[in-house]
Order: sequence, then C-alpha cells, then structure tokens
Amino acid sequence: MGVDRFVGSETQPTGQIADDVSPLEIGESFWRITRREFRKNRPALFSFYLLVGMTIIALSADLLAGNKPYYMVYEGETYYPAFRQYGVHIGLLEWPQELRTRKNFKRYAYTDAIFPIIPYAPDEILLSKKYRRPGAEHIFGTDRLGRDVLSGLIHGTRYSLTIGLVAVGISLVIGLGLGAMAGYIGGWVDLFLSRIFELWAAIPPFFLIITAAAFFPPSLFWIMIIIGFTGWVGIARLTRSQFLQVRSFDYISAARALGCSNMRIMVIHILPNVIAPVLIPAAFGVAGAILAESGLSFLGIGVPAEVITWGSLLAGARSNIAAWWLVIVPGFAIFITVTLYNLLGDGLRDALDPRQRGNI
Amino acid sequence: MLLTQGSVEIYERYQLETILRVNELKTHFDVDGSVVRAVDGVSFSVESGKTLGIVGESGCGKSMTAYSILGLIPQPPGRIVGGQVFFENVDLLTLSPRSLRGIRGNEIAMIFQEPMTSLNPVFTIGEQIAEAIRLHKGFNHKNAWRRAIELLDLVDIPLPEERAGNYPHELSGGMRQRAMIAMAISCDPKLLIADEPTTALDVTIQAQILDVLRRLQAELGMGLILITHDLGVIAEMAHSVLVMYAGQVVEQADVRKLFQEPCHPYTRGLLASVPTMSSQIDELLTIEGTVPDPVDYPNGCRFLPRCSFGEESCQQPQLLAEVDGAHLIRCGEWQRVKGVKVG
Repeated sequence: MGVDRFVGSETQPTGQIADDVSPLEIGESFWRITRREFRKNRPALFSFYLLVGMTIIALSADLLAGNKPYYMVYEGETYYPAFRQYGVHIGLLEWPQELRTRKNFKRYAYTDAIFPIIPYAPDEILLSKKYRRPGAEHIFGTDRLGRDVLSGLIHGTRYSLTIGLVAVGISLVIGLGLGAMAGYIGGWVDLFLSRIFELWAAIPPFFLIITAAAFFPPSLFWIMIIIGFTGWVGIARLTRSQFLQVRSFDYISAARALGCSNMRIMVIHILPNVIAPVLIPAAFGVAGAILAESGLSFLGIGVPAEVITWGSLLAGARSNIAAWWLVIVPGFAIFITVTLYNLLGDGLRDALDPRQRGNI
Repeated sequence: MLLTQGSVEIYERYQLETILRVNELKTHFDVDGSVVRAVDGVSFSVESGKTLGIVGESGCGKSMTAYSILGLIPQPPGRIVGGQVFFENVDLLTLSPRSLRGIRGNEIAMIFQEPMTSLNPVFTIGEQIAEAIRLHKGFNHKNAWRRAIELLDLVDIPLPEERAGNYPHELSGGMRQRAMIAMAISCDPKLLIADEPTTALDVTIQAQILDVLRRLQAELGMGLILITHDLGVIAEMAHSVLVMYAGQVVEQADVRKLFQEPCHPYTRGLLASVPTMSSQIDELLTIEGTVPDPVDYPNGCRFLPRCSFGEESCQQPQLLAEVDGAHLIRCGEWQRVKGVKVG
C-alpha cells in the first residue's frame, strides 16, 4: 500500500516522477505562484508600489496639505485640528464651539501653531493670489481663484482613487453577476443576456456617460454610479466565457454529485477559478474610470464646482491658456496614474496567464 | 476509527437488501434536430454490500446511465424520457431538485474517471472533503476538517494531516483518486457509483484503488456500481455484471456465469479480445466495425452489423429474455452462439 507516494519522494527518492505532475514547485498555491510571477515583472511591481504610495497620499491628504494645523494654541486652549478633522469627516467628532466660526484656521488669532507643509486647503480661495506661477510659495502655482494647485492635486488623489475603485467595484458586481448567469445557466437566459451585452457594447461608453450625467445632479456619488453602470460589459463577457468553460469541467460535475446547489457551485466552486482573469480588465477599468471622470469634470458635467478633482483642475486651464501649469500638473498626474494602472493590469495578465508557465 | 464503528452492524442490516432499482430507464439527447438514444430502456437493481459491474465500450451509455440515476444529465440537451429509479422505494426521477441534492453525495455518491480534473484546483483536498461533510452532516469547520483527515487515513493516504493541506496539482493521480474516494464516502453513502475509477491510472495504482474500494465496501456495507470497460476489473470486483451495447443491456448475469458461459456474441467478442496467460496467440482478436451511429440505430439487433452469427431473424427487434435463472440475454440465437467455443 502507498507505493504512489509522489510527495514523499523528497525524502525517499524513487528515481521516478509521475509525468502528470506539473513542473512547478510542490507546495505552492495558485496565488503564491501568481505572486512570484508578478514579482518578476519589474514595471508592474514598481507600479504596484507607486499605487500603494498614492493610496497613502490619498489617506493622509489632510495631513500633507490643508489649513488645519497639526497643533494649535488658541485662547489658552490646545487643539489638534488636523487630526480631529478625520473624526469630523466621518461624523464621529465635532469641532468645538469656538472653532466653528472660520473654516480657514490661519485666520484665528492663535498664539502657537504648526501647519502642514502645504498650508492651503484645496478650496481655499485667495483672490489676491490668482494665477500665480509655480514658485517657492505655491510649488505648482494657483488657479483663477488663487487656490493652491498642489493642494488640489493631493486632495484630488482621493477622488481619483475612490472613483476608480468604486466605479470598477460596481462594474465588477454587475459584470460578474450577469456574466455568471449567462455562462452558467445557458440556454435562452444566455441568449437574452448576450444580446444585452452586445447592445450595451455597441454604445460608445463616453457618450453614454455624458448622456446619463445630464439626467443626474452633478455629484461624486452619481459619477461613480454612472461610470460603474456603463463599464461592466467587458467584465460580463469575460465572466460569461469563463463560466461557460469551467462549468463543463469534471470538478463541477463532482460538486453537483456531491449535492451542491447551483448557487453554491457558481459562487464557491466556479467563481474562485474565474476571478483571476477577470481582475485584468478590472485593473484597466480603474484607469478608464479615472480618465472618464477627468473628461467629465473637464467638460464641466462631472463633479460640482466646489469639489477639486484632477479633471476640474484641468478644466481651469480652459479659461486661461497662458496658465500652462494648470494643464501640465493635473494632466501629468492623470497620465501617470492611468499608466500605472495599465502597467499593473499588464503585470496581472502576464502573471495569471497559464500559457506563460507550465499548466496548473 | 470513527467511521468503522458499528459498520459490521450496518453491513448485516443492509445485506442483500435492494437499495437501487432502475426500471426501463430511457435518456435521450437532442443533438442538431435528431434524437440520440443514449440510454434505451435499461433495468437493473443493486443490493447493499454487492457490486454491480457495468461493462461496454465507449459510447454505449454506461456513464449516461449513472448520470441519469443522480439527475446529473445536462438538461437541455438531455432529457430522461421514461423509466423509474427507485432508491429505497422513492423514485429519484420525481424528486424536487432540492430533495435530490440531499441524496446526492449523502446517500448516493459518485467517483469520476479523471482524478486529474475532478478535484477543484483552487481548494486543498482537505477543504473539498470537509465541504461534503459540512453540507450534509452539519459539522462545523473544525470537526469536518478532523473527519476529512480520518477519511484520508481510511483510504490509505500517508501523512493525512499534511496531505489534507495540499492542492490537487501537488498530488499524483493515485493520490487524487484516493482523495476522490474519501470525498465520496465522507457521508457514509448507501450506494457508491464509480465511473471508470481506474481507467486513468497505471496498473499498480489500479490494483491499490480497487483494494481500497473493496475494503471500504466491506466495512461500510454499501452497494457499488462499477462502470468500466476493463473485464479484468469486473472479474475481480463485481458480483453481477451488466453488459451494455448501444444504449441497451445485451447480457446480464452473475459474474461467474458470465465468464464461464457468455451467451451474447458481443460479450463473447469482449472476452475473446482479452489476452490470457495460458493462450499462445500472436494476434489478439478484435470485434470488427464500430458502434452504430446513435442517431440511427438499426431496427433489429443493434449488434447485427458486427455479428458473425447473423441470421434472418436478427432483423427483428431483440428482447432481453431470461434464459437460465438470473441470466438475461438479448439475442435470439444464443443457444447456437453458446455452442461455439470462445475465441
């Protein structure tokens, strides 16, 4: 008994290795292999780290740029407004009564204070300083209302990443759901859903977004919803094809023979097998969503005027071509981020493509 | 060992009790506007503790019979057009999908042909075995995992604690098939359907897998349907045998009887094409021709185009007739066939 101990062959060499075992190292899960393959791809790995850095910037935007000091002594009391504002944003804390009169804390007659490195809030209007060129005081200059561009850029990271991730999250839910139904159930359900996919794919997405944006109030919430609801077709089609393929595999028959319900088979048995390739268009989708938001805000039908995103910063250059920094700075930020997400998607594709290595 | 406790008792209680009775089962497939009669009126029964071998060449409806019993036929294009499948006096074909799910894996389990592809690549084998236990027995994660390790030990997998954490691609074919068996017996099924469990394995591993199956059957007292095209496996494992050809049963007998007095020309052909230790022949016999197109079966005997005993009367539809005790033959000329020496 137990002659076929392939796994035991490390300790007791049998001199024969079953040819059905893949040449990969023994003891590795699918995701570990993927991670190792991904690490080999330098640009993708670099992009991944930069995007992590960008996420950190987005999370700490209020500490990097803003007019709320880290530490402030006002009328004998000591405050930490820069930290407190995080609590205020999420609704856990409130500003003390005496600090409610002004939004710009630089205007309080404080006795001592330490302000962030960039002591301007993105929406802080200084009409006396409009269209300042990049310089020591304003590193990336100011716009037509004297708002600091660097501060807007840092805070805009939040919107870009949020829009990208939430919009793609919505697309993923819709795309995975409809694609799974079409691919798994098949028959007339597949026929019907596939026609819907084709119909949806036939409409140029940007015009669809513009049309939809006209019907809804300009807000971040609606922009994310609209981009998410228009960008799911690619994911749905890919999911459908993956489900079609995997549902005919023996282990799905085995799962059915084991008494699993259809829902359980779809979610627990097939989904983990198909999620990897679906992540590739999702990564590209984030880049697409960021571009779409910038485009909408540039056209002035995206976010409301008081919200500073990269797209709305860029839109500021429309009224004054001479203010070149209003084109270069946000344009470059958009370009970099979109490139990083595309490189990440490329890296994922290479790492997940089984044809690039032995079969799993 | 948890699993074997009281299994002698179970064995005695269920011994010789008919657990599955298939009656005139017909499964058809609609392919490009024509009807493929994959299973065409198959009847048999399985007793607990006994093994029924189903033998026949590829495409004769062996696997489809098994799939029909469990309701695993993809519908459409497949549909079960007639017959009954009584499992403990309940017709499985009339059950709701929900009640059927409660029986699959729990009361009737199945082992598939390809151990390479019948395990989900993204879960460890321990997780996959534990899932079945959780699903039907309501065990929590920890107990199900512990039970999964016991089951791996029961199917003779060395170091079961470690192997439970392995992914299928890390195991050899024999190990995977053992894991499949562990999964199948995880809920103490009353009936186990093994669809060519050893076809994809090499011969030494085959013998081990069959040993495991036989031992488990004796310990758990379950009925076993063994689908194979290997007559050696049948001779070693089965108590009674069903020979299928073109969707029909052509001969059914006790295993001893079938090997000693094969009466259908097809069965004889199958037996003659197996080399024996004693015979000194240069060339193995084959059955000339191929299985008829399932869309267009001949009206009369379906084996007639390949049969060397063909007669005028064979143009008429042949019935499965009881000839000698529990020996059923679908051949009008069986007495003449029986007289001729095999080979």
